[in-house]
Amino acid sequence: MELLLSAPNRRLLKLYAVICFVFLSIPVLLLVPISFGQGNAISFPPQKLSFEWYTSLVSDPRWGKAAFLSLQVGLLATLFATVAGVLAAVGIARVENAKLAKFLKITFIAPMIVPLMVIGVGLYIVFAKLGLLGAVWPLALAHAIVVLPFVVMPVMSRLSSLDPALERASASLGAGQWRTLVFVTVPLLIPAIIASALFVFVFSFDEVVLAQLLAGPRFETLPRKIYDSLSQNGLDKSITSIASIQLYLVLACLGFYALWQWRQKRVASALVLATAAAKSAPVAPPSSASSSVSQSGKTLPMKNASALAVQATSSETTAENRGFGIQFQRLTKYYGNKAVVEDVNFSIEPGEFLTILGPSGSGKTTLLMLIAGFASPDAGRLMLGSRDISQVPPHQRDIGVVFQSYALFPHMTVAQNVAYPLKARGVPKAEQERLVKWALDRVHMGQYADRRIPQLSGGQQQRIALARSISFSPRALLMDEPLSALDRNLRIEMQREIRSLQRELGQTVIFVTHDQEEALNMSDRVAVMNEGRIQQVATPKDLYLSPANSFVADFFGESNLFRGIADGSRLTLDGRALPLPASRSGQAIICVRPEAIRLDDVQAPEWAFDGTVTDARFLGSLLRIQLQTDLGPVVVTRQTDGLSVAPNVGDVRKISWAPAMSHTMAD
Amino acid sequence: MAEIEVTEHIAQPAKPARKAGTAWGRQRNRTTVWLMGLPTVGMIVLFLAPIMVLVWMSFGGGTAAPAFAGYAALMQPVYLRLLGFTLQLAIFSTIICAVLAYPIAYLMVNIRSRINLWLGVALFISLWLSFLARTFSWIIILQRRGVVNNLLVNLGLTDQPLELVYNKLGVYIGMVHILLPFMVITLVPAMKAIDPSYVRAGLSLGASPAKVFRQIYLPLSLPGLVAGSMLVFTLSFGFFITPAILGGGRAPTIVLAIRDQIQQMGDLQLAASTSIVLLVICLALLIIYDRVSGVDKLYHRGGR
Repeated sequence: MELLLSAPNRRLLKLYAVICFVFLSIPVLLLVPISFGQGNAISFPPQKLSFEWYTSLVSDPRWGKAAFLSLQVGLLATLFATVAGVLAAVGIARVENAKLAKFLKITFIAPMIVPLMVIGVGLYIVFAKLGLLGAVWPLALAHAIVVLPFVVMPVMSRLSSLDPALERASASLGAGQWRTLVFVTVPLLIPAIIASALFVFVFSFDEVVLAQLLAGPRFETLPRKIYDSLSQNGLDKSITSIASIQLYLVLACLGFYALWQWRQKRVASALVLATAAAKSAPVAPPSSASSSVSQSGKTLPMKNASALAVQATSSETTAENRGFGIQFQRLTKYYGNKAVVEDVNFSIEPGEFLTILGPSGSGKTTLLMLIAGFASPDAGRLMLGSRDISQVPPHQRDIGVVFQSYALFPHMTVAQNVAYPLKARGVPKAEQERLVKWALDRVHMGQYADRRIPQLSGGQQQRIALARSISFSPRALLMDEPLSALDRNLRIEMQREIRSLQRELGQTVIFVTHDQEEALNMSDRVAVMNEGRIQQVATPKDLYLSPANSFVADFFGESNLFRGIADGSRLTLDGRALPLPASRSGQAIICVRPEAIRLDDVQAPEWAFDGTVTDARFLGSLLRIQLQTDLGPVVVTRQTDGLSVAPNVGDVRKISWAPAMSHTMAD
Repeated sequence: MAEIEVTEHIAQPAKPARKAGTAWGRQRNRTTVWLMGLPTVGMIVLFLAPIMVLVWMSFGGGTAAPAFAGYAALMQPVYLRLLGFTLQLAIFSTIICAVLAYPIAYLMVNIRSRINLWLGVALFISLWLSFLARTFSWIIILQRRGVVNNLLVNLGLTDQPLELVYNKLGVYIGMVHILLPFMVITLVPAMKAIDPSYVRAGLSLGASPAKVFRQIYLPLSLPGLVAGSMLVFTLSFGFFITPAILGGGRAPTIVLAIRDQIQQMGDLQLAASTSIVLLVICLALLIIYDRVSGVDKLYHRGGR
């Protein structure tokens, strides 16, 4: 960004900044030396130094009284404005009706737009009628209401920068609305709350207009006294010492803040070093890790069974198969008039690893949200085990969710994150610790328990998210593209680990992805989804060998499709006839996978047709050849064995396949 | 056929189900209502009710005075001049602040420099130190035997001390000093939100730096500038302390007039009418701002 300015211009800009700095700071800094000057004369630099203007503040009880009064008003106003402002900010952010939200936003910004004097006159008339002039709390309330936008705005802006998945994560982990607010939302807002509370205090401590209007003659706050002495008695030098004291306080605040930041940074960098050290000493070599998993796997489900007894959540579960089955019964969800999930009707076996695979916008995330409970179906039912959960709120579903963004609570340690669902369920402390350790050990993150979330790498965060979602032995585990942010090697490692963890726990897992390789690697069955509809639910093998329709055939692996009209044993298209693997009639599609196609077969059948090579590529273990034929483009793959020679572009090859290797489907 | 059957099946329960919403949604809404309770009551009792009372009072509520006496009195040239000067002060202060603040914000966001830290500290202190103290300090600096005049006279640049304060110049200096930090703190986050790759893309596509700034950076930072101007304008429009003290009676604003109407003339109806006029101007501004930029944007950092 420095690019836009040439070096001399940059210097000019810096010079300008120095001037601005002087303009901003000189008037403030000037007060300090003057406040130490002796005598009534205001001179700079002071002729003779003395503390008399500070001691006079202490000796004159009127200043003390005014300051105390202002302090009372200021603290009360801060309390009112901060509480009301935070409530309003959190509340408005949750309003879903766009018009209402906008109305509220305008309403709560209005006190900032309307001049103080206007509200002051209004309040003056009201307070005068009610006899409230000259009391502390009415003035504090008045201050609070005019400064409210300065609380609502920064808090809302901070709120909008938070990951919305955090709130959902909290609900999916079993926390109700208030628990989520108290333990997740508000703690994350604290920096904004502190900043705005300080602003409110400074404002109230400095406010003249309302103090003049709403206070009686004998009710003198500090700013009012300062103002009066400024405008009537000429220049009272006490003001310089008061302002200096304020300045010292502000500087002290700033100093504390800087010190705190510096310490945070030091702690963070120390931890980074420690992490680096831990990394260089291998945590657990893959082989020993997997063996330790299988060893502990024998004992731990037993321990966990006792945890389940504590929770008393499930009587149907057994140690070896703890997941519940899920049944979709004609589940449908509309957004507006568009069905994003339409007539989904299949069931997931207990302990099954099912992948929902589909392109972006196919409705797979909506389906996941329906299962987790963040959306409710417009029609149909959703059964978890034998219970209809269509209308159960998310925090009572006992379904673990791993979010795409992980949604780990950044203000908690790893252990606190993992313990969160246990705390929400009121699991006893000792049991919590044991389960946290158990869950962290399952993902090989045992020694990271006291880390803070921002200090973890993406892969580590992924593991913690996983540990958090299994720590409370959920009835099913949902994963929303959890590996999409990881690099390829880590992704494959995590795929393996998630799969082995799932087997070991007997957990029902619903895994959403758009990556077909991931679906192949992990799933017992795959549900292919497109345009809100489930296209096919089958094992990876069946999906590949007998796709239900052309979408599945194309989306799941590459395929060559020939669309025509079947009459018994052959499919006619473009004047040619291709053999069908099984007899059928009507519109049909023959699907031939690229590896099933033979080129220049010596026993080529008479229906074989010619193709011209348009492209040949070496893809590691595969050779991928593209041909142009009368029936459209054809893709062929060949295993390479080091000897295979790629055909040249322009070569003509005869294309055929064994009819049994092809598959027919309805158009 | 199957298709039609399915849609019929769905269409029937769809309507009532959608009305009821999710259990999660219902709980959420209930919590939201609880959350909004206290702030809403506060707003109604302490903000909307007083304004209603003002309206009522401006039409002579509860007194024998004719309904439009207050507004009629406002048509006197005195008040029109006051209003004119107040608007002028607010507009010019806003423009000056915008012009001065934009380069500072640009520097703080885009250029690494040691001065950034110092500017940050200065802004922080300015924002958090009493308006009164800062205004007072300007008197010390600008008065007839103040710091600046002493310096100028000692250097022999002028024989006569310059009239720097207790006039409109003094008010402008004080206003800009107080309002500038507000403009900068609104602009900085808005500029931070501009992805530097836009600028790189612009340059890589062959536009000159000046062109990139004019056609890419400036438009992208404009919402922040508008939000900051809105903030500064409304603050300066209702500003009381600085014009009262640094103006020394020679820069009377309409807000000062309201104070006098109450404390010296005791004419509540006139004060209420004047307040209502100010209120209407401010609300009109709010609506214009909403049309131009969207009030919602004020709630995001720097009016993004």
